[in-house]
Amino acid sequence: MKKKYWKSIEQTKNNNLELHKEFADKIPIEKIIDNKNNFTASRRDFLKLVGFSTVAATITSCETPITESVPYLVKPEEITPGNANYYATTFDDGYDFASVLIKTREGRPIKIDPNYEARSLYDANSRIQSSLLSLYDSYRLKSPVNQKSKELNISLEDYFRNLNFDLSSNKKTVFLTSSFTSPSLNNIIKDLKLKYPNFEIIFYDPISYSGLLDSYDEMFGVRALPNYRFEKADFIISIGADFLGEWLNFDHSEGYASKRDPDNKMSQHIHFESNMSLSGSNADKRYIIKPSEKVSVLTNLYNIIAKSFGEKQINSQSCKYDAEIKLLAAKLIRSKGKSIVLIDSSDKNLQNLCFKLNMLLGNINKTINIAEPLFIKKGDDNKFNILLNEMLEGKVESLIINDVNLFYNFYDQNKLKKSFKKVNVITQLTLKENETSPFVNYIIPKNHFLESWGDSNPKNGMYTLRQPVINPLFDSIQVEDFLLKLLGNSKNYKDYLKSFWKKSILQSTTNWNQVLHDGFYFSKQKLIINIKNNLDINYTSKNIWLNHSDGGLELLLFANHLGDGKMANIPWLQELPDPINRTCWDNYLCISKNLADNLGLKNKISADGQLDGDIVTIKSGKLELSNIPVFIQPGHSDDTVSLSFGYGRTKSGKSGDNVGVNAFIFYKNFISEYSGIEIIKQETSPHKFASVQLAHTMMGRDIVKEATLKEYKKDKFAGNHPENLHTPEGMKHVENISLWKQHDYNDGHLWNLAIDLNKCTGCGACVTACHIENNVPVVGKSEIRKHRDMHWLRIDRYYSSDMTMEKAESLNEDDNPNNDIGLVKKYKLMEEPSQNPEVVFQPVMCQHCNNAPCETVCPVAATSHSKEGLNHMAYNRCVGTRYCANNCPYKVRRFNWFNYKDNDDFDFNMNDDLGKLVLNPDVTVRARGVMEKCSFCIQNIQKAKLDAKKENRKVKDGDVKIACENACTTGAMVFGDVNDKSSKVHKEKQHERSYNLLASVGTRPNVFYKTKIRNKKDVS
Amino acid sequence: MKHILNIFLFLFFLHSINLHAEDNQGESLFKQHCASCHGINTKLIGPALKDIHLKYDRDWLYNWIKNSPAMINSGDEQAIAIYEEYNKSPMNVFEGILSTEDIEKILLYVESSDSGQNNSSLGHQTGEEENDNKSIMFLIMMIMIFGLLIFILDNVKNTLKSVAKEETETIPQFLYKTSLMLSKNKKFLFMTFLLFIVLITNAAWHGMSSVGVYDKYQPEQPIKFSHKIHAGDNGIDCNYCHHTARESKHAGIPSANVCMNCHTFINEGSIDGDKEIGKIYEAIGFDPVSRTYIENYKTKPIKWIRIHNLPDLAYFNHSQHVNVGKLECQTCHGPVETMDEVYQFSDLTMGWCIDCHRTQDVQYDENKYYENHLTKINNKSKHVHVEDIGGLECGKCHY
Repeated sequence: MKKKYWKSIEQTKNNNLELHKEFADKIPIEKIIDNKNNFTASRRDFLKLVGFSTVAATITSCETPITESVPYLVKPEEITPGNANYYATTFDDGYDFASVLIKTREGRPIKIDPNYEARSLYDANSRIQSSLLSLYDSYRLKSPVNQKSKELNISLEDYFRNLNFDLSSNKKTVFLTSSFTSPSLNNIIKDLKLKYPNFEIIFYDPISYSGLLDSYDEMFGVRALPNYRFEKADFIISIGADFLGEWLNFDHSEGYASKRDPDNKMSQHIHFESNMSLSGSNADKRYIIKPSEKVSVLTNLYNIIAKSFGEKQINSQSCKYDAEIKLLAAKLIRSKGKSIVLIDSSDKNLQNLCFKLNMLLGNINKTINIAEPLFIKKGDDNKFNILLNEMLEGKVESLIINDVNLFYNFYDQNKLKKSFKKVNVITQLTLKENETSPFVNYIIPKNHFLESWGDSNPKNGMYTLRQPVINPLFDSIQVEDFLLKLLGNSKNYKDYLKSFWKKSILQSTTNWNQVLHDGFYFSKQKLIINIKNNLDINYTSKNIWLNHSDGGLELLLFANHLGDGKMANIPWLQELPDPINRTCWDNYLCISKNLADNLGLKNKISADGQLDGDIVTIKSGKLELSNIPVFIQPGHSDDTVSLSFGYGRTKSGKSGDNVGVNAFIFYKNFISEYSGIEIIKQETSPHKFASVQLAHTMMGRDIVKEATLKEYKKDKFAGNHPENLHTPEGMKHVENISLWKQHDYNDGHLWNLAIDLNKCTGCGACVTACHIENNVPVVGKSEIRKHRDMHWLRIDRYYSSDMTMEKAESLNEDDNPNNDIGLVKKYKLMEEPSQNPEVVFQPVMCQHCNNAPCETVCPVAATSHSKEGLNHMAYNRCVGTRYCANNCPYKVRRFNWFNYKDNDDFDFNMNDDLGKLVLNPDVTVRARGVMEKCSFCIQNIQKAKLDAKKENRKVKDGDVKIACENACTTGAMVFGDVNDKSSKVHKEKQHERSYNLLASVGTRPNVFYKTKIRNKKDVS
Repeated sequence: MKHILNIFLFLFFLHSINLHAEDNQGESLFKQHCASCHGINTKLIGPALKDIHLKYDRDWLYNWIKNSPAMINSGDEQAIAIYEEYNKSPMNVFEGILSTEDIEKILLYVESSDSGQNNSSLGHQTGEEENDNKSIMFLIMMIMIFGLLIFILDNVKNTLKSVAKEETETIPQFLYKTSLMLSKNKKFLFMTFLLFIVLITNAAWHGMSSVGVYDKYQPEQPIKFSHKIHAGDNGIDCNYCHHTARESKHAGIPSANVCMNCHTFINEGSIDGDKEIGKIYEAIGFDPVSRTYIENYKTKPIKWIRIHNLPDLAYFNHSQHVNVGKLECQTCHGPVETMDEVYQFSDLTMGWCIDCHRTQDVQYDENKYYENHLTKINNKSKHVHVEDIGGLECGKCHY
């Protein structure tokens, strides 16, 4: 019987004739010819053209190109052309926060890396790394604009000279800003308030944490975010909080990953959620609930625990997981002081109850660090609503908007327009014009964070500094200088900052230059925090159910890697596939398969081998959002649909505009859950997705090896048994069979990369880092749709299926012939993910095989093996046969179908003089027609070796940092020389969990993985 | 005839002796040790040296040059007067560097250049040009003589033939006859055709392989900077200006402030020096009269023409070769210290790189990086070439 493979769920479902056609539509050749009427080039014309172009090409190639070389007139002391400089600084845009290192070459920043020395808050996620490109965004505002007089390009002096609002009037001047934690800026604002009593500051977070902040204030007396310490938690229950993804935008993943080591008290992670989030997919056990069910889960959990501690219980309703919750509660009590319960909700009462629960469990000051809360979010919904009303009433004289894009991310645009009209003067401080700009009077260009000074106080006791790494590219000003000028202070902010720090933050013995060099400072002076714990349980009991009614179909809004959409114009981010859906350049309505079937909505693989989805309108009362494509998401709640923020920008720039739909329309009152949703199918042609992975499951292959903790404890090789093959001499281990003569690696280096699948959360920071480091081009949606993505590193995602190889075999061998499912059905079932699948992530890059299949088929020897175990790729030798890509079992080779540089068809950063400044000068920009792939960041390897030689020493473990490994703050990736017996990677290689991908092929890669272990104890 | 030849030979010897005498040791010593602070006719950091032998006593001068601070400390009046006059900037100590004889030579040079006789290099250059012209003239003369010879011999032959009553033929007649005969010879035609093809192929092959190869490329630079004067005559180390060659992938064109280290004081040169040094001042904004930098000057960066252009696809690191490999700059760049105008010495082709990597020894025993490294190769032969440590692998230069 012949095996048959399906491409998608849809394909298995119907035997639609369309699927068997090779081409969806007839290729309209006549039309093409018609369009070009003079399709009759004569033989003579042809010869003329050939002759002319040959001569032209010859003449141009013979000319000696004149290259100018312009040295510095006065060379800055710290700059050596050709060598990189690193500066520590702080990324803090109100949404994300990280202490980062900036790599600059000849004075221009080219990479953002985590500042590991900061020991805390250094996780440079994809967004933070990509923010580099917003510096080189040609859409940046070049000079201030006076929109009132239609005067473009006024100067900053003009603005301040004719300041059209009176700070000392009896009407208010409001500084509406995104969150910041700068102590010096706070000081400036304090002075402004002293001088002008009607000056006010309002914080606005597009994705609000107001409820959590208020709750923290109520429980612990300070308006801050909780500092969870996952590295101390044995048992984690998260109710809808995607703490590994976007929730709080804080690097929880490092602490979390440190407890995912099965050899060392591995933690257990239980997740309740509606959509499939990054955290949910990493959980040991995941329960599907509706967003409105979060209350019942928490209250039930609380009641069981409260009962055992003799505390008062609260109102609760039964939910479908009551039996499981009982077990979980029991386990929570057992792991007292070593657990975390967290919930994502904008309802203060729910958060209060959750804190109370953690208090009962003794987690305060153990797994929740009360002494060091986070100040990174400040947004206050109430104050903002009051401001809007005051504006409507005409109480506001002037509004200064800093980095807030209300006309994109506030749901009630009509109210905004009305209230904006009532304000006398509106000034907007922004990097570039956005949706809000048409409604303001003055637009003032603001410095990029890489051009600014600054400081911050992200958590209690920790201070960081921001320093400029490049002079402002345009006529811009930094916010702090702007406010100092308003204050009438003649000092520039740099001096202000320095004297402020010396006076208020630094101890007298601490050196300012040292702190500036490090980028951070831990102060012994801390805010003293006392637990208030004055929770009125009766009040909570009464109010907790108020905002939560079960209203039919629910909508959940969430953030993905595009965050709040501020950086939508960065093509790197748009092209980074969503870790779960593996789709880029889009947002879509995620729905479950059952719901899709009920509503008659379809995803199908079109004839061009890509995913097409139906388009719907969602409606609730007056709110309506149309043209949303539907994406069928395994593991999604049947009663919920979900949609991500950050898309649907209309004034962000060439890459970000009109990508997806704007979900903020439904973000009413800053609540991300919405009930009573109606879905109407639009009868339009289906939406074309750009998906980089259409396969859902591993189809019974050992691509990601898995085991449970219980199995692993019994047998260290659980799930990772050696692969043996039949040979004439009997069964033999794959390592002992080879057609090839082996390379001699006894001497020198042998570079290896270890990837621990237990620590990898799938976040995608490595993909972005690789993209930036190696000048990987952005190809755009239509090319991705043709599977021509250029990512050197991808993170594959696989769902588990209910049908496994073993199960199918046992069914087939069953005595009962009715159970026999046969081969076709077996594979069909194996292709289908479970209702609530387990998810695994696997970063795959060039495996640098020692028996590399690509090397043997290259007709021109463009790809060859090095003495150090690397698979080299010489672009200038490649003639583009693509044999290598065809012969690669891992499908990691990428072909340059076009010139992506200076090509108007790929109008991204490489088609832009400013955008090209971001390119890494040590890595070739590839031309059309050549193959490329991961090089193990050979430029970094070569540099580390050269540095060692220059310093007359051996290469130390850790000298070589490759981009993906460096970006991975969880430590899932370890790179090094396995010939160095003391290296970390050498130890990793000896581990029982380590295995090679598709080892049975016999390629003997230099990349190896470590088995994924799930802690299913007591819960499965 | 013989006499004339002897006179020529004698004159030639005389000329070479003359050249030898001009090779003044004092001049080179002066340039090496004094010129950075002293001019002969101009004041630099230190006083102008014109008539120095008249102002001071010879012994005093020896002592002063050898150790001036000691003289100042001992309270010598003349010494203190100079010290005060030149803003209390002490002169370098040359004790142990210059012997009394050396100093004497320098002083003699200074005395002799007082009378305005200098610029020997200028004369030398024109001489070379004349030589070039002479050799071309000589060639033309030779061709004419041989032509004449053929004509005469032919005439002689014809005369002899007519005397012998044989059929005479003129040169064109002879040529016509032979070519007619050859054109009927198929073998000859085939061979000619083959030769023609071979020559064309050969020319095409060389033509093609020289596309993009620019050795001997010698563009005109915005400033007529002479490496011969700086690196050759004055013996300035390459690394003084191109210091990043030891640290970085780029050898680096020195920034103008490096030039200014010396040219703050040296503002005239032997040929076009004044004009060319003036270009640095114009770029950086320096007023040579008041010796100060002009404030708020809009600087004009110098646009040098790059001579050595490796294609972007090849990665080359100077520090790897200069610092680690301990290669001399001249290995690749040729005798730069003799070049007035720098040209590309090596062809910078991949074959050229590879050839060197095949034969060049690695600093194997000297560098601790190689400790416990490549032991097998080490046992095989004493020499470890770049090739043996993977120096021929594609990925070492192309990424």
